[in-house]
Amino acid sequence: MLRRRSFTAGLVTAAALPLPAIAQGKKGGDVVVSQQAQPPTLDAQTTSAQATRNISLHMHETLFARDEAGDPKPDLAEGVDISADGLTYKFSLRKGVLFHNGKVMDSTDVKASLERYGKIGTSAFIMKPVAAIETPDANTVVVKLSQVYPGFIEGISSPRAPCAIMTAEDCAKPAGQGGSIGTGPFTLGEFKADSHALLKRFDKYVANPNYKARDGFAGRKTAYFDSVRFRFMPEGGARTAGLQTGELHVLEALDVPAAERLKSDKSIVAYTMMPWAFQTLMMNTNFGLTANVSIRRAIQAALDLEEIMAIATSGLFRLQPAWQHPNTGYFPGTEGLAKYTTQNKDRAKALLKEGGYKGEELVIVADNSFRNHLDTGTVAAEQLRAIGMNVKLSVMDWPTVLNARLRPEGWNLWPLGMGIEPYEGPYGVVGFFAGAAPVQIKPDPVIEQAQLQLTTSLKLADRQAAVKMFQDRVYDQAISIKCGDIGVIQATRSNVANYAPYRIPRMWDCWFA
Amino acid sequence: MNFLRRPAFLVGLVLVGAVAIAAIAAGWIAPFDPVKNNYRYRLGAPNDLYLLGTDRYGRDVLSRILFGAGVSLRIGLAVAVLSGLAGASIGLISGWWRPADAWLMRVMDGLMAFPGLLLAIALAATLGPSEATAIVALTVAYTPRTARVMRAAVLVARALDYVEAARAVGANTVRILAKHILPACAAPLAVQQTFVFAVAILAEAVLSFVGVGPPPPQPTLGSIIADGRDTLVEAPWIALAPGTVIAMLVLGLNLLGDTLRDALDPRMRGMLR
Amino acid sequence: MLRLIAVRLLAAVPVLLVVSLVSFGLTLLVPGDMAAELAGPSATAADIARLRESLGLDQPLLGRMLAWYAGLAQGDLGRSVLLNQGVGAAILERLPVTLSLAFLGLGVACAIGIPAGLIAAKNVRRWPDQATMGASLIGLSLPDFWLGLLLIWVVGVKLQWLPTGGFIPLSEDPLGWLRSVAMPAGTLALTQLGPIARMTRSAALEVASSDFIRTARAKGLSEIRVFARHVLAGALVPILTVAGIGFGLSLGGALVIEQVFSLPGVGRLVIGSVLRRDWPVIQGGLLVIAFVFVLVNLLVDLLYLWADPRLRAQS
Repeated sequence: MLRRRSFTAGLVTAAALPLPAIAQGKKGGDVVVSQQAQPPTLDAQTTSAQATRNISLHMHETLFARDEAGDPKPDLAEGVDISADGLTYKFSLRKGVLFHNGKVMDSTDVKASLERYGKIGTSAFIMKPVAAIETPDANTVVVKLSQVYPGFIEGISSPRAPCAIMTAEDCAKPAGQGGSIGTGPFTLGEFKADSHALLKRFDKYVANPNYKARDGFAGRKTAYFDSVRFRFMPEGGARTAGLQTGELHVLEALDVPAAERLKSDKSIVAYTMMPWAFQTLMMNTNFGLTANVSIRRAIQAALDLEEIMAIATSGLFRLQPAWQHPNTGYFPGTEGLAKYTTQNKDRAKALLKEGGYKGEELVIVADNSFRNHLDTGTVAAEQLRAIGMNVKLSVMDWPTVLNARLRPEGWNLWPLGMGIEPYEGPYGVVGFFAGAAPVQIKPDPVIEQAQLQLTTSLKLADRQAAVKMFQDRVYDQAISIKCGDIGVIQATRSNVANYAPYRIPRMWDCWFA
Repeated sequence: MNFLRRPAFLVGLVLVGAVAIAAIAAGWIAPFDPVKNNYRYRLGAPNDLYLLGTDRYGRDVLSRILFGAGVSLRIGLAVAVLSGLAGASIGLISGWWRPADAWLMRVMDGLMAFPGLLLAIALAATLGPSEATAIVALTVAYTPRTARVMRAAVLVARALDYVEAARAVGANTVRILAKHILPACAAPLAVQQTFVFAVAILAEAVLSFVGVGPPPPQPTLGSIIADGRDTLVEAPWIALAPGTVIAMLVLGLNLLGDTLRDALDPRMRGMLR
Repeated sequence: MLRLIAVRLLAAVPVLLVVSLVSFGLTLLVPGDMAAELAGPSATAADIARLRESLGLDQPLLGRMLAWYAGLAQGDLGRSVLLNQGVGAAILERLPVTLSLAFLGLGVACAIGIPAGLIAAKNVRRWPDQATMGASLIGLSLPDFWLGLLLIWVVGVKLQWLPTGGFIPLSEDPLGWLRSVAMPAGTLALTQLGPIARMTRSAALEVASSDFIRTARAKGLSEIRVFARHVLAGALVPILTVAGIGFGLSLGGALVIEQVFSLPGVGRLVIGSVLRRDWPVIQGGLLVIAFVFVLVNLLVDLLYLWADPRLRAQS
């Protein structure tokens, strides 16, 4: 039984590193990365948007960061000592780390950053158990919890809405306005909305000496490019064309049909990442038809997940029913799930009858800002009409859809792609269905119990069991549909050397050949 | 009515008529259900079965265009009629009852002071995408132009000798309006609304393209183009054909409008572009 | 002249007020707010609630609007949280893109469309007339965004002659600027050519049928001289009007074309802000666009006066 966990760097370096030590990189060059969406802000703490993360994690670092396998590793911290009762976390900070403005990072900056996160951070719930943050000296931060919270390190190391360490001064800024100064390998040059963000190499960057090379978001990061330009390009065709002409060097995502067409193009390298995200179809268990478990089960039985996934992903998917990624620590297995995920129209119709269905309207709200959301909603609507349901598909822009789905009534189904939460581990996924305002609107007692066990048990086996309990409940009560896993294709020009795909297109530890 | 025999008029009639008939008959002549997915035939090139290929849902592009043309025509016609009614009323009041003129025209100027399309996009995004929304948004955007044309026509008509005469003998206002003014304004109004019809079809395509048109899976010509834009290189057939149909429709309507205008009384012609 | 400018600018005030009230109405009706954009796709209800509070979005809209108008009275268009920038600065930054497009597109369209319209008028009802008018009618019937997509496909991807998106400021790299706006401006020009050629033709025809031209002909002047000296001069005012109207159309077209070519112009800013619910930018953007329209109309009227001495004498 592991009562005391240590994440000191010494332990980490003993583990096998994903890459051999390399130092033959070539400095220089201006690399151009293209992404579809423009970041809503560069204030890393206050958004879970991928568009922000892509950029902000080049500028910002966290105390702990996820490694190549997704596990927390020390980044700005040397390590942490966790007391036997699990209530005190003593972080020792790396010495001499410089902010982009030349200031040396110390414990007051860390304290201010954690406190800001607790107030306005997008995953602020991680700071909820924090009772006090103390700074006994410039290089030590002690976090005291009021209750046991084994997910704390996972939380502060997550890239979802990174708990970025900012200067104490920057921390006073309101949500969306801070975050231009970090400790990362690149500094902010300029940000032009609807156009681009330009980052420049931070030549005084203090790399982590406890590693030999990059490791996920952690490790020893070395910036080779003089500058990185992130261009925001909404048109997929234009992005692909830019990569083909060499105007762009790296794409966050290459469209699947384009990737097939460019297979034989020697000047482009495509990196397929599977799994990238869950495709889900959330249900409102509080309202109308979907408050009725028989109807929810009918929906579960009516859907042809393969068709949904094939269309929503242009063919880059896998049918994987578990609510955690395989080969990760909390994977609950897939045993017994086949009966829920296999389409059976007769059973669906029988269940509709059992639920007393009389042609009432089923409302699907889907946004047209994310293609997989729109496609999942559209295809599901057709499939449900095929079993005789009266479906209203309401397609609106993102803020309208979010506004609609936060309401306790007026919607039944809502397609959502969850990318970063399953990558984070179980906390974001289970937490989405638990608490005062769960996604399915009506709190479920079993899920609440699973959440409690997951967030407070110090025993790993108990926490794993909690995830299994959650998964079984979601399937049995048809609380939400997991359609499958979405893949993504990152792509670079072939002269971008030593690139390795990850949650963001990392522009450190790679260079122009 | 010799304009009926002009080649331009005939070409316009054929273009609009052909698309309109195909759209009305879509239910019978479309080879497939326009919203039926078939993921095994995603992005299929045109062949014997799918004459214009399939889109990324595996839906038949030809069937979608046939049904989509109907939606575009419906919206265009509704906007032409509604903005005609609204514009005619505002123009009539403004042109006849002078105290209201300054106020009404300021409001119209305000609406005209931004590009009609931008106003329509903002309105459609606000009201939530649907066919009705598109109609309302475009009607609001194009009513001011019609109102201006109508006002000018009323001003010309009220200066006509027989109208002056009727007013001088103290004829009833409603009677003058109904018997003299409205008939004189009907022709320029009809021509203007033909152009509005054309512009509304183009504008609806933009609304759908930007994502604030009628919601999927209902096809509209603009949304089919939007569906095809990400695969323009891999599956150009998706975006090519609907754009061509839009061009046919709009060209046809413009030809009709042109010939109608040329047949008009020269005094009324000046106020139309 | 100065008096005219002052009067016209004053007359613009109620117009701008209408514009601002319309956009205010939009904000009142629109569901959702910018916390949705800021928090990201998988934000929880709690995330959104916290953000709304920290951004002050839970305050009544009316109060925030009144504060905005109070700022406007002092020439301050407000601030955008999502852009982390003042609204005025954000719009000023984008105007060059939209104006580059509109002017370049209009310039090319006029350079080709006006001569084409004159040639058509000179050869009225003969083949050059029918050919130009047919071509311009087809041009104005094409959906501009579709034409843009086709250009991206052919010129950008197949031929790889020009970049498929993005904007390079003129001050940074003139050649790069030209390359970055060539395709979008070309798209605009292709769709604006038609109206301009048609309007020029009808203006020239109207002048050609007027009394003083008939007098000139009667005096025995050669056709070419009549056309060059008198018709062209007489048609100048209508052609200026054409250019003014063309600018309006061009500006409207530019707003959509920016979307297709990923150009950071005012249109994309405003449309994007509608989708992001960034209402200070919507308010400010619409106001500035309307103001530019008013200015352009004023400019056209002034050119009118300059070109037509009779009107000058009147004013």
